[in-house]
Amino acid sequence: MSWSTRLLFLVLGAPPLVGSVLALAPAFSQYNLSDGSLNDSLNYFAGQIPPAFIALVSTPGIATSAMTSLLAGLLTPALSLVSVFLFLAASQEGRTGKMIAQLAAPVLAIPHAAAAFALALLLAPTGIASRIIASVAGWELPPDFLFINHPNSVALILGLALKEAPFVLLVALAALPSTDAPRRVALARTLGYRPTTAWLLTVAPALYPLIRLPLFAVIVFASSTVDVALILGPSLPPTLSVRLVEWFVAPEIEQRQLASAAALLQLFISLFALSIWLIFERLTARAYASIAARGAPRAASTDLRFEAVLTAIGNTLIPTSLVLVLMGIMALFLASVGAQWRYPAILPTAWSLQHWSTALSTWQTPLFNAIAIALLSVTAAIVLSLITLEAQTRSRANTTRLSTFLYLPLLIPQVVFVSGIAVFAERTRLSPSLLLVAGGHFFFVMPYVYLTLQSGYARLDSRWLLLAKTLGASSAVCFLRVRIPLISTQLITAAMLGLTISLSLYLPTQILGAGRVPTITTEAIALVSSGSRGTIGTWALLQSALPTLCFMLALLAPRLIWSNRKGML
Amino acid sequence: MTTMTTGLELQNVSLSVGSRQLLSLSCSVAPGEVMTVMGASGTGKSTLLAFIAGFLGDAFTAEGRVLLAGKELNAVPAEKRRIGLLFQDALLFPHLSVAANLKFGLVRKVGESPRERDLRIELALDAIGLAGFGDRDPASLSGGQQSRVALMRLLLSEPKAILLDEPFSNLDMQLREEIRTFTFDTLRAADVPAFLVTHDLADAQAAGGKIIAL
Repeated sequence: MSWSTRLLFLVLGAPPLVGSVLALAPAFSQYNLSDGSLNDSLNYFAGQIPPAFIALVSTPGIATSAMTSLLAGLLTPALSLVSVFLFLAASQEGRTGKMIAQLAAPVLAIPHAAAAFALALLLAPTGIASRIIASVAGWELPPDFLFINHPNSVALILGLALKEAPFVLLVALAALPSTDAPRRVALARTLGYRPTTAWLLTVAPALYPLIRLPLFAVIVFASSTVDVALILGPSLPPTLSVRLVEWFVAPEIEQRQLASAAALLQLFISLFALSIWLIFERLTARAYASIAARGAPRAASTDLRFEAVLTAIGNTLIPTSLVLVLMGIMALFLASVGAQWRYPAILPTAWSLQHWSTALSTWQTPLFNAIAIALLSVTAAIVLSLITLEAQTRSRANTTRLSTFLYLPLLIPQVVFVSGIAVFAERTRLSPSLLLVAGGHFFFVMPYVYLTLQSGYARLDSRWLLLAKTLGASSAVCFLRVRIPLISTQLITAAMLGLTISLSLYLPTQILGAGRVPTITTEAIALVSSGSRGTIGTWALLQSALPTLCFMLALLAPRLIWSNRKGML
Repeated sequence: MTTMTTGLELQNVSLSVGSRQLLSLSCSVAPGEVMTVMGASGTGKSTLLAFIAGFLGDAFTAEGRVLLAGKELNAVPAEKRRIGLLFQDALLFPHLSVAANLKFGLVRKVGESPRERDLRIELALDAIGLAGFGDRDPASLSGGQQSRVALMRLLLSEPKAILLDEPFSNLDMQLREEIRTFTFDTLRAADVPAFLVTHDLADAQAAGGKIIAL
């Protein structure tokens, strides 16, 4: 192992592992903190169950909470994957498909919480969707049906999928060129398969392995999300992750032990979701093999109908999700400027900027904190990524294995890892501060920054640096005057991606800042129980503004900087 | 074998991948001469250039010595060898202007002011028929113009020897003739030893030096 690999492991691999151990350890304590008694330590080895586990198992509704998390962890990636693959199969990289994919990209910049709020305002009983139906169906009163926060978790899974599907789509589009898709489809079509079926049978199996790791990250994220579950998830009882955080931040120390036991359960649930996913992978592979063994269709009517149904679904799901997001943002906006908005009027009947002026009088500190944290964590991630990448190129090391532990902070549930860092900070007497929060953000920013810069390094023609050397350039000159300018587009993308992620992060900010480092994201989510529709709309839009700006900069900056250098674009 | 004092010399050079030997050769190139090494693809021509220039990949093992003006180069890093390389493509840095491309490798003279350096660049542009092109985006130049800038950039770095890696193979037929003549005339005038690898006999003949077939 080269020193750069070791450094990367130390920075990215070790903290999640150590953090998890620290988060889980209190669960095994034999001190019964609620009444101060101590279980006989000898009995521990005789198999006595630690009190925290007993407390967790006897917590009302814990099984339902765990089940909700498991369902979200499986259905979110499934829904995202199915909609993305059917979309790609149906659109066949056509012009409309490309346009829709471009529209999906900005959704990535919208923070999870803001998207969840948007969906909540859209689909609430008095939300825009209900008002539109009311105007058609002639309803006088809002429907007596609670979609948001319903125990069936449909809203939670829908809200997660709205954000994760664009992510899976962009990952898939990035990997698609290496599958040689058009030729595969052309070949299958000459053998008698219809286009959508041809894509699904020949391209999907080649594409899936390339997007597997990001999908695993989606599984872990969806099964352990806190902010989206707070906004859209069931409340009686909430998801496991939400309860874990409640216990973790509770003032009573015995709740800490309970949180720790819940963290262990959370880790188990996320891993269980991953295992079920792996089993489904096997089953799907088998189904594929048997379909392939049936041979080419003879344009039978069932095959044609099958093709038509798949194409129709593929053309519907992703565009519908985009429409939902767009309408949700409209709902946020209308709520933020509406003063009076009686049901079933589609638009507010009186307008006011009251919510905005109230928000703007308190937003400076949260905004400053958010920007400072984002800049600190992203700068650290870029510097460290460049150091390791530079060292790897110079030593010409084989780095394919690196990507596995790059994903480690993303493959361990955020709640487990973050509460572990918080315990570590307490033990080492690091008090909650902006710097500590930035340190926590670093772990979630780094994987994306590194992978983006790595693609920049990989894509750069190695002759540029050879050429610079034969012209007498030192290593420093090669790096500063050749490497950096030539990967500037990826550098900007990495920075903006990192900023977007950091600006949207809720859990590390809330837990590591212990409520003392408010950002726009934590302030927005704090409104979930107390906020009015108007304040929620305002803060959700405020929270989305900066990441959206970053996203636009990532697209525009290279064009502006290199406007007079066509070879750079 | 007598050691030359001015040219580029390869002594018992042998290159191999694993246990398979790619080539072995000894030769010397005098200043102002363009020696050609010819061979089909896969014979190790580019590997030989990488070895001489100083960036041979880990996969290869090399024996023998490279001497430049009588000094052994084997342990000298690429950027200190003063061996220039002309690639198949012009490879003008896309982020730099034409003038900045020329300046990239320009050897600074003691006591030279920035103004004097700019003047040298202007003269160099003039010499390749591109006077006034300094501020241009390299992407806006024609293929032939780019080739000439690439050659001038190489010469301004004042190399002690020049390697050419099939430098004309990506040019179309008409341009090829013109750039080839321009390049070889310029190289002979520059009076440095040059080493050309190609699979095109016309290139070898135009170079006018010794020809080694691999």
